[in-house]
Amino acid sequence: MRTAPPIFLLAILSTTVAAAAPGGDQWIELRGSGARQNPHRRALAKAFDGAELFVRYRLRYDAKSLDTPREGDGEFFVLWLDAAEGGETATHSGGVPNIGVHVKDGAENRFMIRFASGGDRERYGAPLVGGREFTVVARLAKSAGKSDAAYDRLALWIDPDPGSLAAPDAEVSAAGGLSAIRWAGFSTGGKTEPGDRIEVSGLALATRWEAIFEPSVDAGSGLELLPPAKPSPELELTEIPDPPAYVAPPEPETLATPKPPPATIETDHWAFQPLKRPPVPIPRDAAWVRTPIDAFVARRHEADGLAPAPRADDATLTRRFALTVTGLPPGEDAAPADFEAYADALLESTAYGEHWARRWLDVARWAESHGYQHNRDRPNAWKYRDWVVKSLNDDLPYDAFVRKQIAGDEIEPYDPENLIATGFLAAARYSGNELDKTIQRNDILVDVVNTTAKAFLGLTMECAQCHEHFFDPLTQWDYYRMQAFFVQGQPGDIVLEEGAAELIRRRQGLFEAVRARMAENLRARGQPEPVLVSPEGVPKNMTAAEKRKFDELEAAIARFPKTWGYYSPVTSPHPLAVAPSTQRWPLPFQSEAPRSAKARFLDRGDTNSPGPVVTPAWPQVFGPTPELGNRPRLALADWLTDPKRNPLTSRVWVNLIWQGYFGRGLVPSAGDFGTQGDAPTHPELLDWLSTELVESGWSTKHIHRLILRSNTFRQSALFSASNADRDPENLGLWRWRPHRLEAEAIRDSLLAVAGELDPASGGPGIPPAESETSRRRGIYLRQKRDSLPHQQTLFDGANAVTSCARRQVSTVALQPLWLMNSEFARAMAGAFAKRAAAGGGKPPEQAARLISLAYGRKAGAEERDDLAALIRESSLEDAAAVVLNTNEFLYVP
Amino acid sequence: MNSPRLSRRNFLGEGLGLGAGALAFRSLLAEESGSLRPGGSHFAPTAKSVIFLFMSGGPSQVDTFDPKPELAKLSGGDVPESLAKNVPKIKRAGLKNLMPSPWAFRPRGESGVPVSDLLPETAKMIDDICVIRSMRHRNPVHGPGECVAFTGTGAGDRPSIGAWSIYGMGSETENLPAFLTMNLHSDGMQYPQAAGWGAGFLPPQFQGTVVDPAGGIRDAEMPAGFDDARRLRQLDAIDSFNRRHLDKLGVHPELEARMRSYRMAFRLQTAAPELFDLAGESAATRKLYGLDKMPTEQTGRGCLLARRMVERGVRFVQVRIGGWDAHGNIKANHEKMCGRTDLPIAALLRDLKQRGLFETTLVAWAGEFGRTPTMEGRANGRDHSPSGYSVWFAGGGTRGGQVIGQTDPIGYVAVERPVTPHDFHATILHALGLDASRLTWMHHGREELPTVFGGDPVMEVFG
Repeated sequence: MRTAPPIFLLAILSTTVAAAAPGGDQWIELRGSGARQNPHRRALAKAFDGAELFVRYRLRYDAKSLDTPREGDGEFFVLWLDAAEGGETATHSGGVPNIGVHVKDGAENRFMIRFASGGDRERYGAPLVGGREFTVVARLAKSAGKSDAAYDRLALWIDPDPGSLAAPDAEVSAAGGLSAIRWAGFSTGGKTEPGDRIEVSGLALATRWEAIFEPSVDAGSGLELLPPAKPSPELELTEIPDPPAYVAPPEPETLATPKPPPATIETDHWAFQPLKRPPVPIPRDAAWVRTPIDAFVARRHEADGLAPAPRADDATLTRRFALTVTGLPPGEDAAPADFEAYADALLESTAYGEHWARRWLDVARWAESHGYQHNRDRPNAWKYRDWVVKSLNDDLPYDAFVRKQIAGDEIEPYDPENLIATGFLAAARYSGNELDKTIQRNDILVDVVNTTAKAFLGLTMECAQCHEHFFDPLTQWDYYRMQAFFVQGQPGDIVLEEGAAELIRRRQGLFEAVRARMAENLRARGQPEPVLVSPEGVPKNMTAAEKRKFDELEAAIARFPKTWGYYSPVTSPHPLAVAPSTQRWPLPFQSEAPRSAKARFLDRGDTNSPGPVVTPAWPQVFGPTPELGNRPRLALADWLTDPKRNPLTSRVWVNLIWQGYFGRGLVPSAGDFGTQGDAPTHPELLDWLSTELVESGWSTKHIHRLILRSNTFRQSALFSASNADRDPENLGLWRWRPHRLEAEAIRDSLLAVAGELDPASGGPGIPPAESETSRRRGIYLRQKRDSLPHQQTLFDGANAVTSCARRQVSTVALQPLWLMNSEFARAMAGAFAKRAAAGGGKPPEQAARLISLAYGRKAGAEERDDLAALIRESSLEDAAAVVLNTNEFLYVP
Repeated sequence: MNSPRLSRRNFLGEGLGLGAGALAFRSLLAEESGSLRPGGSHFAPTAKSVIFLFMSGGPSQVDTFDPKPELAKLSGGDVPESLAKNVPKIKRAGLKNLMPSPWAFRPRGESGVPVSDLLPETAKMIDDICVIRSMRHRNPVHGPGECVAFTGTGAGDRPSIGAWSIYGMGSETENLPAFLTMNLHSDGMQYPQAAGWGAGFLPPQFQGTVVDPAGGIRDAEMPAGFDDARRLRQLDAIDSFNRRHLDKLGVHPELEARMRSYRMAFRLQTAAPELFDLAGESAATRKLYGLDKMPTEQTGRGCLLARRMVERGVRFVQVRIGGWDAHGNIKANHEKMCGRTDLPIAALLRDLKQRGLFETTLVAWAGEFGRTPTMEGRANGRDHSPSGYSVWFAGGGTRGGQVIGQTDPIGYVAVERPVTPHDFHATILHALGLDASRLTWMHHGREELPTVFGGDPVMEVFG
């Protein structure tokens, strides 16, 4: 990895290149980009059309960069000889000689020569070995010998000695090639991944075989390579114009004069009442009570005449503990003697954070693309996902968890983690097709307010965007005052280290200068105002010199670590750079843009009907908002996490945790604590847990432990007709109600029992093309809006567009089809069968093993015999698939 | 004890403790523990099925169904002040450089409804088509605009019209999903908005199933080496396991629903490949839809599949055809797009008619918006414009050969009988016998409707 500071790096690049004289031993490092790139191109002193030409270069292919076609998609790297230079991304093929490295038969990286890709115009030599120096030599010749004839023969030698002219490693011929050569250059390709490092040196052309064994070749033959073009002097970095200063749009006229808000708002709805710690009741059935949770639950049992189900057996509990805490089935040898110690161990595993983070990501409507029609990727968004996983695993106090997500950029001292946490706000969708910047900004703010209110307060604030909330004590004023907290920030690729600001400023200066020139040209051709220039077209209209400089700047900026976060240059004390984004109509890049932004009351939610300017305030029902100072979001976070002033945040969070275990929250409508939501089934328990959360220093794991220790959680699923008569929906929690695994847990469970799970944690999302072949946990599949992983959507994953506090469970025929027929599920059944077969034995033993591996319990005689019969009549694999399709496997027992 | 051996008929029909009653379901997808709206229409439907042909990118009204001779006179000039003052102040609403249509319009059919020369085949069917020239909304951006077209709001967080339709009417088939959607020509185009077939706040079983016209329903085909007998043997075992499991737990409607879903999956495994296998279609039919030639092949396949879906009882079929975003060159773009779509869409109407399906199938044709009558920049293209654009309905009890609504003399703004996307949705529901103002779903304590900002069926369509 290169660690030099970027400015310095630019200098290195130019000196390195300039020093690489023909025949010299200076090594140049070239890098892959995952796409066709021509990072090094050199002109000949004059065009060459002689009958025969030799070319030589030395190659060192970094060993770590090499992947074989079995592991990845192999490698590609060539030297081409062409009549024209082409651009940065030009493809030199189709009659153009290529001399380099490619994949042979989809199996091996080998040296290669070709006139065109594939078929009989491509030939291979020795295998490529990483980290070793090779001398690559080729001969290009014309059969016809005339100067206007085409070069039609190509031969290859690797590490030749002077005597091997007659014995090339490979030869190929093809008609219809070039008749003259003027340029030579190196190409990387789609197989050359970003980060792949390739070093070359000693590039030389010659008319004689012998000459290529000499350090300096064939002087005067016309085959001297000119040094790569230097950046033209007018493009020295310091000469790049400054980007234009930001011009704030004119303040809109106030068109709407809404009714002023009421002086005070009062409500007797339970959710808004102060948080009080209720005494733990003392129920009659003291023997059943293991923890305070049980005491509250037992009291309702008594009141409703319910008898709790007996404790579930150990095997069931083991599986229930593992699936609810980690989203994975228990290991084969998990037979805990002590369930409390087992719970602790599970809570300490990385798998716990990976499982529970997914639920928070639902709430955060998190995704890795912008959404809407262009739906560009957000390549740095994954850092937020990893931060959520880590925060849960570290048991980051929930108040800090909230603070960092709402106001990470305002917190001092600076910590990159805090910026990463603002990915919560930055997960907002926005349309890159939106020319109207006011609408574009408002759409983001609406998304941020709706999500924040639902995630932390459990309120459906969105209903107050266009009118007073029909049911809850929220006003339209509340809505836009809430927006005011966020109005001076916006999402972007925030650079996490110092040193990028100047590079970005220059990049932007160059970009804007070219854009201005394009606009001027269009204007000169009579284009009516406003003259619009798509940002995507700008690099294409740069001169070669500008483009080179631009690419260098982009490459330098690209090396800085970034996160997709939310940043306000006004309210954050940290001067941070925001990397430019290329979208059709992106957000304003200038950091000044949010400075002048003000929140306004919008009549009917319409940006064309702005009302008065509003200042940040929390909903009035919670009492007056004091003077907030210059860190408004930090003040909001402080209020959100102050249980004296706001009783909702802790209630909403413990309810989400409860829901994660029982499949239903104490408040079943987890995303709606308003008057139209469900009333809590155990209001005192909810408040008791909320105060426990606060008093434990906001320890999320403390709440997990309280639940895991309770008898309530350990009940069996045993049905009772008399209980069901009194409480058919089990609101009183008189038994365990099996609930279906979430989409990710289904996928992960299949991987786990098949013995295929790759437990690697964190990092960029797995590309969509690999979602069915990857063996990593579902949480690591890339979340691209509108094309989320198929299995995730099929099993009711959240839509990554609106905050989702509770997933629904559907039962449709397409689900069994996936579980029986999909490539992924079949691969898992196959691997599972192999795992069961590994122990040897006859069908009954194999059947018993399938059952115990999948369900974590001993097989019963009937089911074992059933399955054994299937093994005998069909196959072990068919039987494995059966087990993986059963309700018992797919439900938390 | 070994589980009972089952024949295909047994597995599908009866036995296994659940009984035949479990199979008397109304809908393959809309089938879930009694929590759904009781089926049935509010009044007599005029259509059993809907085919929604969605032209993504925004076809230009003044080049297709809304002739504006005035544009030729004003060519190159500004939008006259008298008309400009009515153009909503939204970005992209260029007021300079009016551009006449490169295509001639002429009256077609017995009705004499004019259609441009771009659509010669559709034009031949005009007596069966009801054109609405006065569609109108305010969102000039593709993604949100597409969400408006399908869900009524730009955020796309509400149920799609297809989801409302199958929620309201259930399915006519036990073998296929009730709502199927195809995305054609979407490579490199505007990203299809999942909201377009999403269930919003409705339960997820009402979402549309995306199918690939070439590949069919994902994972519907049994892997190589499987036949019915082998698969039934597995299903039989799964069912035994599930029964034993359920016996231990007592009542659990969701688990029972899952057990039934395996029966439906088995039927789908047969029905889906049959649906997508076009081998049985005659050469004449293939030719009719243009399956034999390049520009029409893809849309032709989509349209032919739409007919086959409807024939097999699929309630709501959506065909999204990308590529209409004619910024650069209206002539080149629309010639290409009409070359792809005109013949197959006309073929669909013809074919539905000759098979007696036309009367019971509502076909809707619409983009997310139309385009400006002005030139965009100097590029001979037109920009997005949602202020007045054309859509059409055919079949399903609608009256063809008529035009509803008018735009201003340059085709910019709907001035007479404006129709919103909500009205458009209410019209589709009306054809299915559903009153959009009575089709409700409780969400956050509010009885949510398909037409959130009001919306009435365009009754003239049927009259």
